[in-house]
Amino acid sequence: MKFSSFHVVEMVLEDANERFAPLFEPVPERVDFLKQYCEAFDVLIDEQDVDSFNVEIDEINMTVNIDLVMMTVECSRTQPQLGQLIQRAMSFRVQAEDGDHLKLSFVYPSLWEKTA
Amino acid sequence: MSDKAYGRGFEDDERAEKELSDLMKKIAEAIMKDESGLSIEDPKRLAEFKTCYQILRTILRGRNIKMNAVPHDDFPSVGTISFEAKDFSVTDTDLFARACALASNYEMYPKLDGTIVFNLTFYGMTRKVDN
Repeated sequence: MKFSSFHVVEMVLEDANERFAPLFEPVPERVDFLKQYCEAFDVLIDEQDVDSFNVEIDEINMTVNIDLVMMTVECSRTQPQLGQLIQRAMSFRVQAEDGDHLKLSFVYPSLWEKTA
Repeated sequence: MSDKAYGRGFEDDERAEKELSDLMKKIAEAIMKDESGLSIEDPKRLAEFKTCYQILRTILRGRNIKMNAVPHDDFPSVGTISFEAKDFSVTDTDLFARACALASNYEMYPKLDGTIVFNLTFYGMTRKVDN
């Protein structure tokens, strides 16, 4: 079965939805946008030989934090996915991981809003 | 019976090394031929190079980041912007991504000392003048 980053994200979101309910509920349009981002992540994961994909929800800021761990990143103009994913993030961070890997961290806005 | 014949044996290291060396020489000759002759700076590409450098310098200012922008020593048509840092983060992600998109390609890799290298390469910095 082919890896789909949105499957991972969906599981994390289900858990977060339960924790944030009944005060907050996810906005379907925002989830759709995140699904599109995950499609770009899938392409990036295939192209860049990514070792791990991790999703966390920041419970205080309610942001969606996505980390990728890989050896190197190489992008040309015909591979716009990384740039597009950076552009849509609130913040982007690169750190060295275990001496010989890179950790790319993307923070995306909250998917939830207060229930009416 | 198999149709396959004994056409090719295993290559020894010495022969493989020679073949690789010959190939590298051919590639170098092709590049040198392409780079030779009269060429002038491409103003549009040069402007993109400078813009990218200015944006990155502005975004990353005030942090412990080593940054430089140089034309390639051997190939004048290639320019490189590179920076090194322990780690870096950007909040102006739109501008950062647009700056990176100006480059022909970019790469990131970790060094053994724990720093990260980010290289942006610009091809087509010069344009050939036809005689």
